[in-house]
Amino acid sequence: MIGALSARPTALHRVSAGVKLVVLCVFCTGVSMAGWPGAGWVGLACVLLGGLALGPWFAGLILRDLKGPAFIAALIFGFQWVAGRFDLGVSLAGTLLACISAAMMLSRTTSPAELLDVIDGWLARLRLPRKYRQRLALAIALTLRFIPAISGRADVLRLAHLARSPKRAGWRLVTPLAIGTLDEADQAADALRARAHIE
Amino acid sequence: MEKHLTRIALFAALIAALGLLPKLTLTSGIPITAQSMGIMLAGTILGARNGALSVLLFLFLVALGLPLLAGGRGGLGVFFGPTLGYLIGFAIGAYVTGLVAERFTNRMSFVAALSGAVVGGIVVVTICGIIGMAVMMDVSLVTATGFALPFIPGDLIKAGITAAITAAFWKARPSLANAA
Repeated sequence: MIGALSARPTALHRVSAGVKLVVLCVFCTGVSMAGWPGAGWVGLACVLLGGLALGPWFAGLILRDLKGPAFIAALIFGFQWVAGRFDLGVSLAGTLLACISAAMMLSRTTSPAELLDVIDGWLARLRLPRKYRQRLALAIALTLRFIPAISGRADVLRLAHLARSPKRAGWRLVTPLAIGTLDEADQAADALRARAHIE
Repeated sequence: MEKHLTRIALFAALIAALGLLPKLTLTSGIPITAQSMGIMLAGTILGARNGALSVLLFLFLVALGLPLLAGGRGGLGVFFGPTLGYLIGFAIGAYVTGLVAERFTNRMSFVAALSGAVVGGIVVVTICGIIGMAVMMDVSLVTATGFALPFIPGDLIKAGITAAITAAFWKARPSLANAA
């Protein structure tokens, strides 16, 4: 279970996920609340310099993550500029890129399992009953287990369709995929009931 | 309990897997992906509560950093963009889709699924998306509506396909209607 996690370790990988989440929250709030148009760009520069300090390859990774958001930020800036609100455009584009880069820095250096542990700990502190936390953990485990299985089933269906018709299968796959998913869910439920008790 | 939990989990997996299907591009150049159709399907097949929970579970996994959104996007970063409203709208939309479909005496019909998909999957999701864009981009609601409108034709196609799939689904598994 690696998600967006970078396989190459950095110093930030060793920092606790809880600390990183709190820092991200403070950083994004600070950048958004600052009344100065350049605050976002300074924040972005700080994130990129931080990334560079971890290694040029890591800064490159964050820059790659910013490709899509940069296009949106350019659109926002262009729109606000045309509307005669240049300062606002600068501020919004900078804030957007700073927050996204900081969030991606967290995602790149923290495994989903670590984040899940932190969230589980926070939910326990909020006195959320153990049975609900267990259900969440089980639902996540089932989802992660079945994503490749469902994708594999989609491939099998696509090939079966291809053997019978020269047309592209596309949307026609979704009905058998949905039926198969529900059947599989009920089989998994029966297996769970046979092996263990869910509170 | 086990059945509800596994259906919620597996539908979250189905929504993720639908993101892997190739996208279609309308003549206007607007791309349509199957993933938002998964949101509508969650509402029409699983019902309001379980449909919304499966979408929330899917979004939770995206927030944890798994690249499950169409185009392989994931991580906390996607929740800071102008599309935040759409992501929130997905969960509310799935709930409303199920709620509307359940109001019909025959929830297995094409009309029930189509009504649910249009109201929940298009109207509610688009309203949330427009509000999200207006807030995140600091533009008026009218301007944000202008940004959202080009996607409506694609969404209408998806609602029609969702209704057809749902009707075919219930025809194949009518016994699941009471359990869902």
